[in-house]
Amino acid sequence: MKYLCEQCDTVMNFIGALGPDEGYAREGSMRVTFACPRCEWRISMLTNAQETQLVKSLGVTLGGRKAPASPLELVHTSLVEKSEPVLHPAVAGNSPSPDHPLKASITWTEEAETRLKNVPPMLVKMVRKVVENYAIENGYSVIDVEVIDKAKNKIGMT
Amino acid sequence: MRDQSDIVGQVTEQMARVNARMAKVRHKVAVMSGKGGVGKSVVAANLALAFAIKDYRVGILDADLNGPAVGKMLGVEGLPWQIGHDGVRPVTSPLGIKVMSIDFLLPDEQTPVRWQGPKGSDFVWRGAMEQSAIREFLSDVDWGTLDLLLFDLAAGTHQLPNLAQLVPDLRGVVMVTIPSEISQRVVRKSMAFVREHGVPIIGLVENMSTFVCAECGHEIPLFNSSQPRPSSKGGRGKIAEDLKVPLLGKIPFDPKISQCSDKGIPLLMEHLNTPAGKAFMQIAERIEEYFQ
Repeated sequence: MKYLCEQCDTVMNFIGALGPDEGYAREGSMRVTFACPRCEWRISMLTNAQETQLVKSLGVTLGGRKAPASPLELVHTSLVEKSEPVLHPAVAGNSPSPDHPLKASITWTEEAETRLKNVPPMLVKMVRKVVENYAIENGYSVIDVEVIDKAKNKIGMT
Repeated sequence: MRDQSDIVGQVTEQMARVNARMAKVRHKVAVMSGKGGVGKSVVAANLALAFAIKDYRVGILDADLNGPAVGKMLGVEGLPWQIGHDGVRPVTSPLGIKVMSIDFLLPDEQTPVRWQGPKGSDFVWRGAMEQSAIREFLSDVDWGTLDLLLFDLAAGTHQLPNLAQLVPDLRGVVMVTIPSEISQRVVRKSMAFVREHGVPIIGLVENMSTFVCAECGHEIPLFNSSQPRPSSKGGRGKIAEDLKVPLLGKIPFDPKISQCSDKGIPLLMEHLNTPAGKAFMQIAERIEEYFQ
């Protein structure tokens, strides 16, 4: 949006914006100020509630950001109904890291290896990884047929 | 008075955060369709698994804010969202796929997305809010290093311009359709729209193309406009030919696809060797050829 200083026939410059709780701009309005570069005449526009919300929806803080944004700040603060986040454990994740100490010591029984032969060759690597991740999460160092079945149950496979 | 809000500066900083995250992702691909109900999310979820089977590090962003489905299809529905050292951690599915969806931020599966704001006028700002939500999912989620990030877009074309601005090196769009005349009319419009925005079209996926009898293997077309099966060299069907885009593959209708999705396991994991399973793998191979 631009404004024209009719007296000077000059396009006014944007000077700044104040948030809805500052200066004259209250009651949900945002104050946006322009000035003529020649005569220095000033004009301030006060936005309506919808326009203020539109600007807020960009994820910017009116009046300036005083602290870094928290993750998903806009989405989380704007949802009417929402769940709260939990802190992620510093090391472990939903799936164990590839260099988990237990990973190196995991062994497969002969029977479990035989069971893997029923899996399409293209899927073997992934199935192996899924089962090993399950074993690590649940503290197994030996993978037998029972662990395979438990891993399958956990991810809902029949 | 000075510009205390520095809105331009804040937006610039937001974009810098998106760029930093996306720089660690090798291929970014949008899965979209002109019309709803063509199985776009099923295709996206199974493509994610197909690439994971190929040993890609895969993430998927469920950008369908008002109808999220990917979390359920990949077996991670109802899990809490977690904050780590470097932003929100995507939920890793049991099959190793990183998933982010607005579903994780909602209290339960029945609750729709409702935004705070002036009542009765949300049409003014809802679009901006949804665009910002996608931007935050890109900038604030710790995707880490990925070989492929899939964006499961909402039906229609409205999200693509925003995504193309946020992710300028988007490798392209996989367009999903079904062989009904109505869906194909809409997909033509969508493709024209995608091209106008300078985004490459990787190819077309025809979902629910035929029905394969489980007893005898006989294949029956489900719609009048089913296209010829693509040749091994990537031949084109009618619409793909008209629009000069590759037909990536045709996925036959198979009740097992929806049964698996309901269980939270992509079809490929349990039925890799079915015609539908093979079709998903073929589509992934064609996309991989496109990458190369």
